[in-house]
Amino acid sequence: MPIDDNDLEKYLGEFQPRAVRPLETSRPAAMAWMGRLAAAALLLLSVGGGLWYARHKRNTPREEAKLATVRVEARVEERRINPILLTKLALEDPKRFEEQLEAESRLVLPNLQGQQSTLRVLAKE
Amino acid sequence: MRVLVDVNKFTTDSVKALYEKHGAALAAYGCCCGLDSGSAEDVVQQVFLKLLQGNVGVVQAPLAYLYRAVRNASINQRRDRRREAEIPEGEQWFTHATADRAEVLSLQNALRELPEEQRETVFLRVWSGMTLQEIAEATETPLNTVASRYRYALEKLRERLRERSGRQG
Repeated sequence: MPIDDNDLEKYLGEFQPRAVRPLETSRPAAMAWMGRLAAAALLLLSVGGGLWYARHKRNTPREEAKLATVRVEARVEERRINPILLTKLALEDPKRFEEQLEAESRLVLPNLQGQQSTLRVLAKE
Repeated sequence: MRVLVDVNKFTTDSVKALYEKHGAALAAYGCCCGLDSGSAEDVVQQVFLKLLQGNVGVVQAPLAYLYRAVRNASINQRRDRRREAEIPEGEQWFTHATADRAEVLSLQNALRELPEEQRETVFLRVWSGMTLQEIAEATETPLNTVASRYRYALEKLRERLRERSGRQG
């Protein structure tokens, strides 16, 4: 065993650290590119998927029925008749009054004759 | 005199040269800090890659920085893995032309038992070839302190190695 400091230093220097693998400088760049590519692909997929879904989305019959009702209500709201004018029409021209009422009822009541009519849909469910 | 080095000015070649010269010693140092050799190599690679990517800003004395970075990363990794299996005892991170396995393991254990600052000084002096003056500048420690650390470290190493060789002989 070396006694002197210099000898001990020399003795220690004879031990060599085990060799290590070469520095892998390319890995992080490749990893970063892979990461970016994966993120871009994910973004593309989600945007594409969202668009596709928005274009191809089909409402359920119940939703369609609801929409029909909303549309009718909107139309009624647009065409609301003044009750005073209607009363005047009833007094002056009962026949025209009847025609007016019938026409308005077609707009107000849901369509019961079509294949996707509200009544049919509700009856099925 | 302290030398400030802007790591952004390091080229791939200069970092590779630094790695080739000191990578093995740094990995052995990582092992001394309690890692197995595979993990120590990974830690050293990560530290050098950070240096390459310029993520560490301006450093004083790159070699001292590397030793500190490896030590900190090793301690962190060791802490994260404390519940995993212990490191195999007989792993060799030094080689010697003539010494047998027991002698290598004796030295490794003796190095492990040194206080952190003494161990760092021994590695910088013996396996990275720095003078005590350079170590003092790099670690921002008075030269007398560095010299004392080195002297104490050599004493302890001598004592431990003598004890072990006495037990084996």
